[in-house]
Amino acid sequence: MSFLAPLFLLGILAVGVPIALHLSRKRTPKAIAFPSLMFVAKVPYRSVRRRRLRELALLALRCAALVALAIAFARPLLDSAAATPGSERRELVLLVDRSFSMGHGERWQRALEEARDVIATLDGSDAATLVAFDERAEVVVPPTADSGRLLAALSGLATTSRSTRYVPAFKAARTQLLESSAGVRQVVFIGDLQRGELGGALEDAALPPGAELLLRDVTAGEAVPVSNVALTGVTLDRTPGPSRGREQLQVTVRAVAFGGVEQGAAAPSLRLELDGRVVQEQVGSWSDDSTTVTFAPVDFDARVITRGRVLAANDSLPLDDVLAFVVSPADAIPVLLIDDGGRERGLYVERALSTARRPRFTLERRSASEVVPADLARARVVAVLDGISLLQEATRTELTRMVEAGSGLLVSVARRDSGGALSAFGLAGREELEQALSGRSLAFLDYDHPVFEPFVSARSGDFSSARFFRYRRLPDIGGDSARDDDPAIRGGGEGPVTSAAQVLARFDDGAPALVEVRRGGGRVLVWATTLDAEWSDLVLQPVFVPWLDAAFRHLAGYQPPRESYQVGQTARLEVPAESGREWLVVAPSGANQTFETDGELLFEVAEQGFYQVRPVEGGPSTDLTIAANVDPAESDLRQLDAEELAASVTAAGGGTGERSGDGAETPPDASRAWWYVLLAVTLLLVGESLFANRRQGMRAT
Amino acid sequence: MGRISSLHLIAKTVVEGFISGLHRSPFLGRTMDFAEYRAYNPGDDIRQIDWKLYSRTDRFFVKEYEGDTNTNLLLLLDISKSMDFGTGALTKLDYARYLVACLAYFSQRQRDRVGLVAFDHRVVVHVPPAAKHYQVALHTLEKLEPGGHSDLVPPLIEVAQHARRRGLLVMVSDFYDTPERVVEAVRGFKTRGHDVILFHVLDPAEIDLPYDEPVDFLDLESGDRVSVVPDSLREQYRRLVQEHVEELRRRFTQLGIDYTLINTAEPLDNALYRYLAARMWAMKSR
Repeated sequence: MSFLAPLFLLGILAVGVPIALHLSRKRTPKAIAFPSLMFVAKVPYRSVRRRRLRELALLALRCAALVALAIAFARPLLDSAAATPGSERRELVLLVDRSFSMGHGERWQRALEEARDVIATLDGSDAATLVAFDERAEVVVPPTADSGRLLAALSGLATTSRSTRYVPAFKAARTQLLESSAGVRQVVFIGDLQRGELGGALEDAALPPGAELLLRDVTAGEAVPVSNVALTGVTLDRTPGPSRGREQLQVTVRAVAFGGVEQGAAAPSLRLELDGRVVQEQVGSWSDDSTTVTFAPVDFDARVITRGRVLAANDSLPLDDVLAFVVSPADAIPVLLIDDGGRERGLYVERALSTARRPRFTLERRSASEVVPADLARARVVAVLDGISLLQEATRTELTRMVEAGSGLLVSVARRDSGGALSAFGLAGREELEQALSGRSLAFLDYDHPVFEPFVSARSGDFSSARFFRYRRLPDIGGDSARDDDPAIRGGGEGPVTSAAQVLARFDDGAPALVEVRRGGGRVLVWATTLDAEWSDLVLQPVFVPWLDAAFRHLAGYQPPRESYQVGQTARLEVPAESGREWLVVAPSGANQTFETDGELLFEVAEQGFYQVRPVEGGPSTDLTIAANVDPAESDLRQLDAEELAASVTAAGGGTGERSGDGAETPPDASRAWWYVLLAVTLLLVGESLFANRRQGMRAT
Repeated sequence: MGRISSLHLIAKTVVEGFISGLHRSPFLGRTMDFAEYRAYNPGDDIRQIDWKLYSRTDRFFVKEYEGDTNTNLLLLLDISKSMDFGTGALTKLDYARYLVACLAYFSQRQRDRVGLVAFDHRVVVHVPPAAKHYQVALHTLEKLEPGGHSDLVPPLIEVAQHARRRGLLVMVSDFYDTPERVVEAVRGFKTRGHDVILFHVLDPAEIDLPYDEPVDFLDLESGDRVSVVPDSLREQYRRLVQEHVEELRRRFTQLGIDYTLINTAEPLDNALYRYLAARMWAMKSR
């Protein structure tokens, strides 16, 4: 007989409690309430009278109940399989951890040796499955009795750049075991038990009843805690450079010493590489096991993609000592500014947009009377200040078509009303002029909307100090959002293209100040007053520039290019359709993959380093590059509790009935003996109660 | 409501005073979960500018912190009868109540989700972690009365089964149980990936046994009575308590669990320090 949880046998020591109670004598000196007699009872101070045990039969019952209870909790296991060794066929699942933390020191070599040792124990009737796992589990070799095939597959395995997830691995093992009818079913787990994500609920991956889990920890002999320096994040700051097409790049990188800084360890020395050339070296200093190092600004060509890396001195886990990033060419969003020809109408907008850096805006100005449809074609965002009613019909039609195709439009309705031009976007009705001599303020702002995203956190911008002295009363769409089936917004915008309107800001009298209409793939923002200093002083407030920047980025649907991805994430790239439908993705290891796409390319990032993306039939000018880094959580080499992990996946309790219905042969549940012991405990306790009551009654009489 | 406000006020006073004290201490920055620098944008608060970095780079940078990221904070409070003991102004339960209120206030400042579990041998109250549960937790905390006998394992196993989202778990108890049972009760949280902080609250009388005359000790939980001559057993008693504490500390250190012994005669600063240090580590290792 063996025990599943032998530590509970320590509970037998609890028999000391009833013995101590039976030894105690009753007195009534001064009584003091005390939280627990746990320690007092252990002190061997007793009077002579106390040492006389009373009620021996009762004591025996109580002690027996406690001993049986401890044995029940220790889960006695009557292993029938062990009684007849070699009499049954063995089904073995070999789980080999190949996450990148296994690249630490000699762990991977030890794992391979452990796996070979396990394979060497197979005899002719046994079957084994080789499963390699990191974030996902891969059945490398399906069930086979061929040791040579297993060993060959094992030799072909290598560590990956991915992090650890345990649940997929155990689910794969469970699936294999459920399909097996072998009498002895074992899972051999070989890994470093790194404290990564479980990847789900371990209970869902519980092994079938009777399955045995053998854990082979490959970290044996390593110092605890294991110290590992990793680069965990990088920040890039770009500023205009000394000449056209060049920019200054300032790189800030963060390094963390997981497991603490080793005694006597040198200060971290970090190198910055741009396009394979070392451009700077900096030495940081540890503070609370981490450091942040800022490199001096570096001049670079902002017209092409620049590959960058920050490298720390290699330690025993080199994969996380490198952080790759990509500096994309500077973006510029073309904006067409249309006004009614008045002086300085667009001055504040123009100046505000000229300060934007990422992305930049290239501005073109036209008066409403002279703009032609061809002017619109060059712009991604069109801003019309007070002049939308002056636009020619053909220009308005082209504007509507552009919005439906995905462009952005900002309309300021102030000195002139829209003249019904906004009905094309579902905003019908007269825009009455309102005046407020004392000035109105903004009473509602939709901070969940991207336009106000820079002001979400506290003290990040104050709109309440802006005063509005005149504005147009825009048609109210009712609530803070409505769709085009709302009669309030239905106008001349009937058509196949769906539009939706939403009030993003209101004045303190409830009138809409800023309304967004989505039509087709584009967006329209309607502002109810001027965007200069004549009708309001918003343009003089500190919030104006970041607000306008956010509004134009939103209208352009701008997504900043990612500096890097994390291994395991899905890369999403917009590729120019004119370069062809077939695109080639070249991984850092050189592996190629071809994808067909209509403009958006999605693929999973599986390796650390730089991926190159290019059209199958195209010149190098259309090449794209992304950088991938490992998950810093995997750099923390602290371990899971092995016993608890084993207990979680081999629990024979809840859910076994459901799993046994999967068609697999259920082996005799040898661990059920504890139910009988618990039954014995119950009987003993009932007997103790009856006996104690009887004795008490006798004493009372 | 008045009592709730007073508990909030106590927590606010203690925490704010503690934080302002930190600014003069060598531990400056431990509460600041610095994440990265960001270029200054018009509209940013100029108080956030890092002037030292400005002197080095001639550019404005704003410090950003990870304090904005939300985490689950589950506060586990042992309200067994043994916690209703105190030789000073406060019982252990009152002290633990204030400690838990301070931590709840802390996390509310950090915009964390706060939850509360009170237990003795079973779960008595369970307030699941949520951003809006700060007032509910305080209200519940204020109403708590000492419960029955303590048994850590069943209630904590029950809680561990429900606390599936990883987060920070703080438990305040007097741990009157064998180290094996205590570890068994707590280990489930660690396995599920929680960062666990344990505060072992003891009254000075429980640590030093300062009684002089022979007395009968009445066990608060079981009602058992034991006659003792304190002078003769004091040394052994202290040694047993010390061994118990050391054993708990050793086992929890092995498990990577943060364990702190708190004497109710001391101010709350020590406990707050431990909490902050552990939270910072948890943020850093994400």
